[in-house]
Amino acid sequence: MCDHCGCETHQHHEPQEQKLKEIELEKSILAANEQVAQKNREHFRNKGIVVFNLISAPGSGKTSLLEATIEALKDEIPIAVIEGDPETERDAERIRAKGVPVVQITTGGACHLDAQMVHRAFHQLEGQDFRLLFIENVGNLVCPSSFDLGEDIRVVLVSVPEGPDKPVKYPASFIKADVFCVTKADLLPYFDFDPEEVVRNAKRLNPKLRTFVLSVKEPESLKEWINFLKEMAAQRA
Amino acid sequence: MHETSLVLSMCAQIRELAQKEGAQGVATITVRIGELAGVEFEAFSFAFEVYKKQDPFFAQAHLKIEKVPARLRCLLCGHETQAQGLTPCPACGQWGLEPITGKELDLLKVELILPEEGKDHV
Ligand SMILES: Nc1nc2c(ncn2[C@@H]2O[C@H](COP(=O)(O)OP(=O)(O)O)[C@@H](O)[C@H]2O)c(=O)[nH]1
Ligand SMILES: [Mg+2]
Ligand SMILES: [Zn+2]
Ligand SMILES: [Zn+2]
Ligand SMILES: [Zn+2]
Repeated sequence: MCDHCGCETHQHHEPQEQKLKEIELEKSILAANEQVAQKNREHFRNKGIVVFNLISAPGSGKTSLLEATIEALKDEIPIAVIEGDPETERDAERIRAKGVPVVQITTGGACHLDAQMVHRAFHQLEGQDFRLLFIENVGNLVCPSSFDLGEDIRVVLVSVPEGPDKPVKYPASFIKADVFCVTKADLLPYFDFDPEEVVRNAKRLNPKLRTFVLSVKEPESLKEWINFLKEMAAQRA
Repeated sequence: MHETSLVLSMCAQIRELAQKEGAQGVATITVRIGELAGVEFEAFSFAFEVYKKQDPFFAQAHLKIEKVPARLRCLLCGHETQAQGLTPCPACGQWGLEPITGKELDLLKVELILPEEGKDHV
């Protein structure tokens, strides 16, 4: 379909004298991002850092989970955070208040982080000593999932008030994730949200998903998640 | 609308190639996008139409999208199916279908417009 007449082919618009050359590429559209992501990944590996990319809609509880995670782990494992969520400018402040190094990325309105932004942010953390790096992506469940940042573990979060249909509606985000967290589990009594069914659906899309049902209001519910993080840090050590 | 970023990334790649080839424009761009790539085909086309208007180098470019359906393979019995969404394996009835196609997000080929001087003979 072309702009001029809506036809299926546009052959007849090409001036006859044009000399054309066809070139086969077979390359990823995001080849440039993937290259930088791969560099990031090597860099993180060499430094023994495990990197998590947190993806969810705005308000699903990414920053809250990070605060609770830092609280639980900070005496055991040094942590750093890269904040990419412009929805809440106070996120970096909230993390800093917990006493860990944090870099705020200004995305200039973009709906996702890319590997280059993370690369630059990572340079700003040079000289800091940490073993776990959490990247809070821009609040958006869909767009960030196309962009590899060089993370080891991609975490998708859905909070109870958002409803149970997210895995079915946005399969691509779940297919590309390693971990799925249901957040705000303390609100389960007030919503039609069967966490087992939601987790089952997510696993049906992606049988390899690790899943957690969490509430920052219920420290008990975080234990499994915290143990998982300890395992990850120990594996890389 | 991360489709805008995808278009920018695609056009940057093409421009780099075109400069090496000494091309003066782009006639056709063929991409392959899977159903599970998390990309809206319409949004991608729209983002490209918007981009074209700002970059004369792409003014004549025609975008072709090859859509790739999701093919899934059963982790248990190996059966392959084109079934969509949440479904158990049609062969063995078990859950656990893994995508083998559908995640593509590829730039397949471009047709560049070369300068006039090459057209002296037919
Ligand atoms: N009830 C409840 N509220 C939560 C929980 N986690 C986060 N919230 C609230 O949800 C809102 C958004 O949380 P935030 O962490 O900023 O989400 P983000 O945008 O994903 O970083 C805040 O008002 C939090 O207090 C939880 O486990 N239970
Ligand atoms: Mg936040
Ligand atoms: Zn660098
Ligand atoms: Zn977007
Ligand atoms: Zn089967």
